[in-house]
Amino acid sequence: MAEAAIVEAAGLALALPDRAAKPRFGAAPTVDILNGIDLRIAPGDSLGIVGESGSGKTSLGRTLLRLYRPTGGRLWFEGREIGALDEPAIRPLRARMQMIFQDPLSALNPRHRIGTIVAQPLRAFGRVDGRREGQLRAAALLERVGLPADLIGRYPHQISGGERQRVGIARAIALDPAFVVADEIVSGLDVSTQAQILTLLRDLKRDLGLALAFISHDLSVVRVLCDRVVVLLRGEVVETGDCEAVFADPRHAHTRALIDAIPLPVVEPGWLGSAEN
Amino acid sequence: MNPTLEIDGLHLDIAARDRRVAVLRGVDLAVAAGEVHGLVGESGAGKTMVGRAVLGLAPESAAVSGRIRFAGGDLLGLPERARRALLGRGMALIPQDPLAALNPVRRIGAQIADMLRLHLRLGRRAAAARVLELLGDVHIRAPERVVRQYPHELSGGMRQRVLIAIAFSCRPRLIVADEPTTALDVTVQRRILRLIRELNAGSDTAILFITHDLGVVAKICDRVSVIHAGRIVEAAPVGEIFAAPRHDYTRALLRATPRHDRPANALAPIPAALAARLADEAAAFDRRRAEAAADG
Repeated sequence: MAEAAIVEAAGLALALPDRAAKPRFGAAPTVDILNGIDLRIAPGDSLGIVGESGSGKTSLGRTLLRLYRPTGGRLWFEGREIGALDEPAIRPLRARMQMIFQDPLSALNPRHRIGTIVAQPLRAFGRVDGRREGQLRAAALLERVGLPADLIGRYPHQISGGERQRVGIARAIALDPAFVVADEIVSGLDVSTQAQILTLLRDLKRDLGLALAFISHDLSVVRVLCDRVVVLLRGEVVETGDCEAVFADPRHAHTRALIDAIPLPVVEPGWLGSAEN
Repeated sequence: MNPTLEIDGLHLDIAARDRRVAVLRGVDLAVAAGEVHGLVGESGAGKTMVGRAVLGLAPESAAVSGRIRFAGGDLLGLPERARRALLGRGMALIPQDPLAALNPVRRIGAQIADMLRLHLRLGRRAAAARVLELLGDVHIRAPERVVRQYPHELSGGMRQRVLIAIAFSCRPRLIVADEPTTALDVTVQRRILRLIRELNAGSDTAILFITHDLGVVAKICDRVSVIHAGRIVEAAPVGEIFAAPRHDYTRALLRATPRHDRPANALAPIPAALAARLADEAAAFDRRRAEAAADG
């Protein structure tokens, strides 16, 4: 059933230990994070995953990458069921699935030079011979994401936030993956840097045929990059569809509320609404 | 009527090793009583430094010149003690990161009461009663419980409400709000913007609203100043600036802002040629200033 999809989930569920409710003895009770998630991402397709804080969008992204093991439902990657695989069995697939993190400063090792950071996945999967080839490949990857190659000798703290996010992208595409999860990667950036990163991702997606899961609380950003969108509320999908259609005519009240809450650069008296919450 | 805050030719240079780096290059800006004035720009444009200079919180290494007129006098001429006396009742800050601004080991109620006891000289009981009223004003439910809680027990939106309560607690003439909703979800952001507007509408407090988000400016501000490389490139009522932006940079910022109601390809980064031209202008400005200083 999963042919032609890169990622597919059916009835996917995730429950994690509720540390806050842990009794002094015994195991912590679990709390449901995701429930009955159905979704499908075709090759080269990009899916926006949107919702408020706590809706489960980050957990969903991590589950799709099998950073969490789902506690229910089924999950396929490139036609293979991966929901219950153990780590040694997953490991070869990891090269095909990558992540770009929200905060590149904490996602990049402060004691490593940029060249080492970008070449790290290549070394981990034995794709380079020796340091010199790693540096050359890293330089080429930096140029691919619009950075000067001589950045390989710098450290993360010596470059700007936008440059760091490009480094995160260069590292994510180093192994030529089929699927990338990008978690709130532009929410800390200025609009002009944000626009550069979004257009870069759009070009990479087109040129490399990347399938993308793009997690964001900002539906305007999703509109720029994604073909399809799922809207999460308390761990469940309340709406899914083509971006254009969903934005033009949202069916679910929660989707409508999320869209209405975005401040468009248009003067609109009354947008703030009345004083009650 | 005189504006509450009037900034003329504000320069701010920061000492960096062997030279001085210009951060503000002659900022002019005026905020009237009751007005919400947006100061919008990118990281490094100097918007936060304008707010800090107004509050008297510029870094020690900064050389500040120009005029900041507030409540009839020039702030830059005031001794430290007199400037500090203005904080609280004269001017207050709503910071970006409420968790960093609150003391993690003191209860919420005590932190708000501090302001009232210090600046308004309220007694313990009067302050405690007023704290409950203030929390009610910022629409916190069950304020009796919240006063006994610690910052980590509250959500980001609740913490920002507490900071807003603190800023408005002494009815200041001016509030500097520095990216107060940047860390929040869009739905929470809207509620916080609504709250700031509502509290402002019932007072003549002027608000200098610092943000990088033109969407937020359109929704909450009366007027806006666009800052780039330490200079105001355009200032206008929001109705004018969004209908007909005059400066190339303002237009480029608008095109770089993603919009869910526009096709995906309508988004464009700021053109490199424009960025280069603006950088040249700033460099020429610094040269002229250095020459004038050498002549003078």
